[in-house]
Amino acid sequence: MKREALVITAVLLLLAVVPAVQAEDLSKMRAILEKIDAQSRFDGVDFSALLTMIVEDPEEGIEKLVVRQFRRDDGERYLLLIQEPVTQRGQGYLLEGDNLWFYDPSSRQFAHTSLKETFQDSDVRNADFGSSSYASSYEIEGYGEDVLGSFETYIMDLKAVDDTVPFPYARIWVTKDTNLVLKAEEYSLTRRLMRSALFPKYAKVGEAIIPVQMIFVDELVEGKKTQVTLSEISTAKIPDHVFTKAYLERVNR
Amino acid sequence: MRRAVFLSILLVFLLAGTSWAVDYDDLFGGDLLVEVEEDAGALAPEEALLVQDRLAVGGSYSFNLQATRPFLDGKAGDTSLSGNLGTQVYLDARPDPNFRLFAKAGISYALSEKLTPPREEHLEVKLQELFADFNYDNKVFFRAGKQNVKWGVGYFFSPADIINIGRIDPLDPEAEREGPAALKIHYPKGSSNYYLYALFDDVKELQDLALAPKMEFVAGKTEFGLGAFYQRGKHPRLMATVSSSFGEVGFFGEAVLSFGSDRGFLEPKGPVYEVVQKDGLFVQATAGGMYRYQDRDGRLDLAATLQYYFNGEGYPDQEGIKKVRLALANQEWPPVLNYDKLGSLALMGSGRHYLAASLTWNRIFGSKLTASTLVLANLSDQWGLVSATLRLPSHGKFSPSVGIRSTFGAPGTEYGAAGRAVTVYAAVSVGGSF
Repeated sequence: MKREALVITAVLLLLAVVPAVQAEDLSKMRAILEKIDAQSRFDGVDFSALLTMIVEDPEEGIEKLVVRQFRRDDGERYLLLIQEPVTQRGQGYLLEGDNLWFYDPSSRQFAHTSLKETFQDSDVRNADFGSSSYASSYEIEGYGEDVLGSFETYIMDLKAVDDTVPFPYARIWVTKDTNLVLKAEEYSLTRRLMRSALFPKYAKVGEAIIPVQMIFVDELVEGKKTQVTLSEISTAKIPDHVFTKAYLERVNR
Repeated sequence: MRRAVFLSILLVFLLAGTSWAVDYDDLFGGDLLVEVEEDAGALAPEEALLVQDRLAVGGSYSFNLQATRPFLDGKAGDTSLSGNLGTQVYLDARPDPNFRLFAKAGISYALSEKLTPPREEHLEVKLQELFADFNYDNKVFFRAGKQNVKWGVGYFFSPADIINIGRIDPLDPEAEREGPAALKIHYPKGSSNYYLYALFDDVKELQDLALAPKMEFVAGKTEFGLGAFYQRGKHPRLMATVSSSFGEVGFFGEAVLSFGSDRGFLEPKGPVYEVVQKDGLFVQATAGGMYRYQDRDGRLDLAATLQYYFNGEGYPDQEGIKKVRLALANQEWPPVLNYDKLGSLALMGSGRHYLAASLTWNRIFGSKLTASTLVLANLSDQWGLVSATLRLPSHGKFSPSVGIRSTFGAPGTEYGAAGRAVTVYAAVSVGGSF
């Protein structure tokens, strides 16, 4: 009888402790997501860079895109201006909060578009050009540990809590010591793998740590991928007039 | 040993089956953090873009050739060959970041309607844009000269585009339209934009200057536009636009209120008609949406656009305008009392209700073929047009296509004066930029 009471007590204790431990681990994972978001933001400073994209498509061949990016995270703004190839030169994107416009210089027309859309038929989404929002856009479904290359990582399975992100499910690999996302797998509603993103190089720019080399792999079209490299990085102040429709019109031909 | 070989073979097959095999040890084997030096160029990038090459010349060219065979009421006509050469050339001078001069001209050379034997040649040179950009303290921006502008948000129909000279062609809605000679003053403030246009076309006196203010603002994920047009001797207009997206579908809408109409209208006078001017309010409104669907395997890539247009300047009863069209088509006197006003009648765009829809299937089943269909209908007189085009694989700058177009509707309807016509065609185009 005494032994049975001990077993019951132990089970009850275990039932009480395990959720508490899980909750503690979950809050630790949530804190990591918040750190990822915080260190990807440029608070109080602006950011500009030249993005070189190599788009490999088994049907279309290899295409090079050169894009100038101006970004201000205070107010969720960015402006993207395509400089190469010459056929798309001058096309631009202006983000202001929830609104994203695409500018076509041939018709001199702005058209509302979505952050979920792909950027110029590459494997990059328009949402990839801003700061990350893992903590606010996803909840954690599960987590574990893994080793990626020479880095010990946490794996987190994420489920979107709103429709602001391009994919409803994601799995990310985050370094344990520096909270940097090395890899992200993004899934459709039916949990089919749609895209993989790899971030093999980061740089500290101002107070932020951002990926300076990114590889986006289309998991639906075999052999299709896009590599993005950042150069001419600057955190100098960008004048307010850059984040306007007027600037896109002025800079164009 | 045999087990190791089997595992190796299995591994090779597994890797071959994945879309992109990643060597994580190689990719994530070294330092993750790299040092970058912040760019400290002599000119800030936003200013460098504004001066660019200081003087640039460029443009585009195209050569289109089309063989057409018409079938009128089931009878085949002669096959004709038509061609067109075109080029656009621009000059962009930017002596400093706060000033630039831009000029763009188009040259179009229509080859003979039937190449053998040549019947007609036509060369057209047109100034498309010539303007200067300057600003006040990078806060207020000015553009003075002939310029392309875009007021409306509609795709096939855009009644709110009240200041452009060129109108949207629903059969070629993305074609460049001729803009006005104007001074545009643009004041962006936050996510809102305020514009004032002073329009100079056909103005001989200062009092005849047309003024058109407009503002754009956003609320949530929706952008609204409000504008007006005023010119002495013309009917004032108010316009409103809205564009937004719900999920994957983009929506747009326009409304225009016109205080009177520039058109003449047919009024029954016994067995004939009289052309009269009408005062009062005229409403035009349009709404539509765009949707793109891409399946998981890249085999179904569909883009659809649907738009409805209510034209308050159109006739509820189409009989009168049908009779006039038929008479003109048969080179007879139209049943109109005052012939001198005949020119003010709108023979096209006389319907009250229009509908346009297009569906494009890009890269059919992952191939290099693209098919598109277009339906355009004047619901008021039951006239319509259906076209289907198949774009064949391009080879460099060489793009072939084949298509069929059919009109339906009774004689005298908007485009059906000649009766039911079916046209099949094959076309090639060569084009590029420089």
